[in-house]
Amino acid sequence: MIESKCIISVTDPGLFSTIQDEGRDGWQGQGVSVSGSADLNSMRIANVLVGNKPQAPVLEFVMQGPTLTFSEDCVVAFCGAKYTASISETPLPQGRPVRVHAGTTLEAGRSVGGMFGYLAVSGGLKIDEVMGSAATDTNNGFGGLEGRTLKVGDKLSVAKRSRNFRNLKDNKRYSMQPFITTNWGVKRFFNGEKRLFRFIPSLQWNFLPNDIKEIFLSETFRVTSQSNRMGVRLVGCEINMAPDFGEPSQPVAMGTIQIPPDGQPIILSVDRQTVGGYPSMGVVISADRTRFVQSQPGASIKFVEVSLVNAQNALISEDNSMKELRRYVSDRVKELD
Amino acid sequence: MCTYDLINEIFYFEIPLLFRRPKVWLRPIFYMTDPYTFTPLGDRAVVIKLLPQMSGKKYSMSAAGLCERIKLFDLQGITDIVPAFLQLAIHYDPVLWACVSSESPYDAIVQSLTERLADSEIHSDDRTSSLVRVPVCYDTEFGIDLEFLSLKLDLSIPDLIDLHKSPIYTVGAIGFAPGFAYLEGLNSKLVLPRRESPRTRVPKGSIAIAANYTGIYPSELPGGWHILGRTRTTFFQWSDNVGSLLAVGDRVQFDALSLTEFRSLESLSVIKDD
Repeated sequence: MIESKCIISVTDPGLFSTIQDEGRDGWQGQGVSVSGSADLNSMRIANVLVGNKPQAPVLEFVMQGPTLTFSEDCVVAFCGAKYTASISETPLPQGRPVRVHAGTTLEAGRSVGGMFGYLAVSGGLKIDEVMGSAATDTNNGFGGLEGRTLKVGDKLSVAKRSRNFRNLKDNKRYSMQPFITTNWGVKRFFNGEKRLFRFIPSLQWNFLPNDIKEIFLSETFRVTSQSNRMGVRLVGCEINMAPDFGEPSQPVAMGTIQIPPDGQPIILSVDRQTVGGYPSMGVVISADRTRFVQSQPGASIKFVEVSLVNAQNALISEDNSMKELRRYVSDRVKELD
Repeated sequence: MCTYDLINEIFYFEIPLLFRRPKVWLRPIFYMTDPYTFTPLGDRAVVIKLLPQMSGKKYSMSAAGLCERIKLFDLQGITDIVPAFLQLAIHYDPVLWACVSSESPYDAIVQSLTERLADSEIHSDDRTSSLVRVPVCYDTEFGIDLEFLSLKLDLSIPDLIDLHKSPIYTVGAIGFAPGFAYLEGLNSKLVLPRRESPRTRVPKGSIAIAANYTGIYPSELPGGWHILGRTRTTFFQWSDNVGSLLAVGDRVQFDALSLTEFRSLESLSVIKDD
């Protein structure tokens, strides 16, 4: 049984690694972004895999993950995009609880399918909350680790152990490896094939001329490398919106499709500002959130209109299946004690 | 016309068209006597749009007033309320609003809000919002765009400063960055578009104008607004969950400080008097 706190030292911070949780609700009226994990489903399941509450703070990384050295035994789970992750040059399986031995180094590697990877540590990362959340807002410099991305030499500790994972040992398949894991795991929630994003049209959409709507619906857009946690930036046929379509500043949401003056759409993501002045086509539905945030640069995507009723039905059914999966995984994790 | 409803028909005949109140299912989206309309903002938020002619008259019908009333309902499953000018976004959790009696969570929340807003007593109409006095140094050392504006608007710098500091502004929205207030009430002589190339760094405390607004930079940020001066007031503090000094609906007045007065101030705490 492990009682002491696990200490993780950062030997390579990766491209853009931050501490995230479910985000900062209730402060948007004061201009504070929601932030939090881009791919909430993967972040929550990573936590459940290590016996944490689904909302515990985790490490999020993009494209190029960090390299971490563990000074004590600890149980971690790696979820989200597919990465070339390894421990002591042995490939690390994703979507499973993994017991990492003291002194070993975990290399998250680079993404080979998707954008965001999540590493949850049993007990949850110990981070002081700012305005009710541990999420990092790098644009405004607060939350997480002093409001910044990870840097070399950072030390992360674990808040509280809830499980000891006594049975996470002597697995036939992995016993010879520098870590121990289960013979079961959770599959990824998205794949690279389905690139049709459903959206609920905005009020402005209804007043747009038909030819603009047709261009928007028929065009295949490409995700650009300028995409980040603020928004997924697309490139394609220019959408010429009349300038008077933009209202001074209107509230926006996760998934709002904005058309800036250059005519290239941006799908707003977790670090979006709370209000926006650009005209909006609509909002990508919550059930497609995981797929749009995980779209890699170069991916081609298309938009399709959907009714609000269908969107909310899809959201509720996704929520139910995710809850069911988390319950199931949670029961399996309990068996490991 | 519902011919089967004879009583209603007769009743309607005697009142002017504008004040007729059709049955709910007949009511168009922009029914004249409804001061606001509901529109979905994706599947997790609903926007209440206010009619411009209604919002200026009563505080309870302004975005700030509605925000305050809805907060008092203390409804489960509302995650955030964001007022901005003539709109108010209510972010909600559709899973918590799903129920058998409504077609969708959206219908359920709209129905609940409509009923509660109609039923709730309005105590706030005689209420005046907070007045926040902000000391500003309009010296050209900080007001780096004063000379440009003076040329562009054909006004002397003292006139320009006078036009800027005389009105009492109202906070229309907070956005762009934590605590960044868009103040409404700018003199029409000072209206001009934002800079063609935005600055990568605008100093903390800068007072700036663009289009119909005055803005205050609560921290160092990139920005394309024209800078008139600087304040030492703190507008946003994330420690201890303090948050934004200003709220939508607050009134703001600028007091001009000389350069020496400004220098003698370390950091002035502002009194928010109700």
